Amino acid sequence: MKKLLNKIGLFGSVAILLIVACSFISGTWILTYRLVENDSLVWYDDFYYGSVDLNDEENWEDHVEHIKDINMIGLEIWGINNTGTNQEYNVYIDGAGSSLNGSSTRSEVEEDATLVIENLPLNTGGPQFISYGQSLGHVRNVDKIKDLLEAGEMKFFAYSNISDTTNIHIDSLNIVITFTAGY
Amino acid sequence: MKKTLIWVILILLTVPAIQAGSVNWGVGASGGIEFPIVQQDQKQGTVFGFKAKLGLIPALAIEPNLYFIKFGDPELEDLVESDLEGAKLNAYGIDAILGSGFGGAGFKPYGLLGIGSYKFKHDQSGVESTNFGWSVGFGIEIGVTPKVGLDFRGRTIVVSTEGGGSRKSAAVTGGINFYPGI
Repeated sequence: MKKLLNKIGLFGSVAILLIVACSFISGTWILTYRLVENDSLVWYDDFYYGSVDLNDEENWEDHVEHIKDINMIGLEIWGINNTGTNQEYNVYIDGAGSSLNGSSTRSEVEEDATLVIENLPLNTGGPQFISYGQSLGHVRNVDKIKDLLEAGEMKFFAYSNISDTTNIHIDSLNIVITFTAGY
Repeated sequence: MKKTLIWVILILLTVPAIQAGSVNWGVGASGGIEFPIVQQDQKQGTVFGFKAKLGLIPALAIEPNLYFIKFGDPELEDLVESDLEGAKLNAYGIDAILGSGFGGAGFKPYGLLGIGSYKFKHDQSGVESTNFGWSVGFGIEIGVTPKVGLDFRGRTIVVSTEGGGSRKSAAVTGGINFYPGI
């Protein structure tokens, strides 16, 4: 019996050590990055364009050397739609080294960047809020997102079907990124 | 298909021994609380599961098992509306149990070490993945009648993820074991 208890004590010690070690070894974190219209998010002729650099974000900075995986990307959006009809936004991203920028055309963005949010609805009727949970159902190309975000920088493009920033526009948005880091 | 084949082979190997009375066996069900460890996208949730228990050699049993974990919805302070839903984790595995015993009265402490296949599923985003994982823990079984025992255990699960990371959680469960062959 004493021998058995010793063995069980060993199991218990291993379990406790494992719990403690796991707390330091790896984990899954969420960070948000804010883009604001006419500041970090600018409307060009065809689309909204923003430059994202996660390297100054505390959560990213703390773990960037040990990131194993980008798990998910989503958005929170505050927008206004007074067009009288429901509209949908598409969001594209590309790496920081991409030649795409605010001067590019919509067709160039569609061809060279990666579609990450497709047909995200912004209903008509004044100010609208799209939650993170709502956006998750519209996420596309998760595997490509992982590659593009590894460097912590990206270019961000968003547009609806109509180019009318008087009646429809994005006030601000939060990019929400979930990642796993291990040591 | 591969997993099903392994289970069928295990059953075929074990049933004759059970019928011959040379293997102690039992079945059990349990439920409890699952605690994510350093996972901001999950919150404390529930776990329940079923197992068989086979005594192949003295003081060592194996437990083929099936567990269903549902994490709670996390509260994300940085979001205006925190509506991220918790994920599900379904586990199919085998635990090695050191100690415990089969039926009878009294307190029987034990340790466990397990391996398994863990299917992570997040309905809200459509993200799904199946990965290898392992677990370690300890527990105590209290025999209330010769054929029935109450089983309390704590265990930690480590599931490997893409890119070399892992997801971890700890569970505290209570359950009942039944030993028909005693």
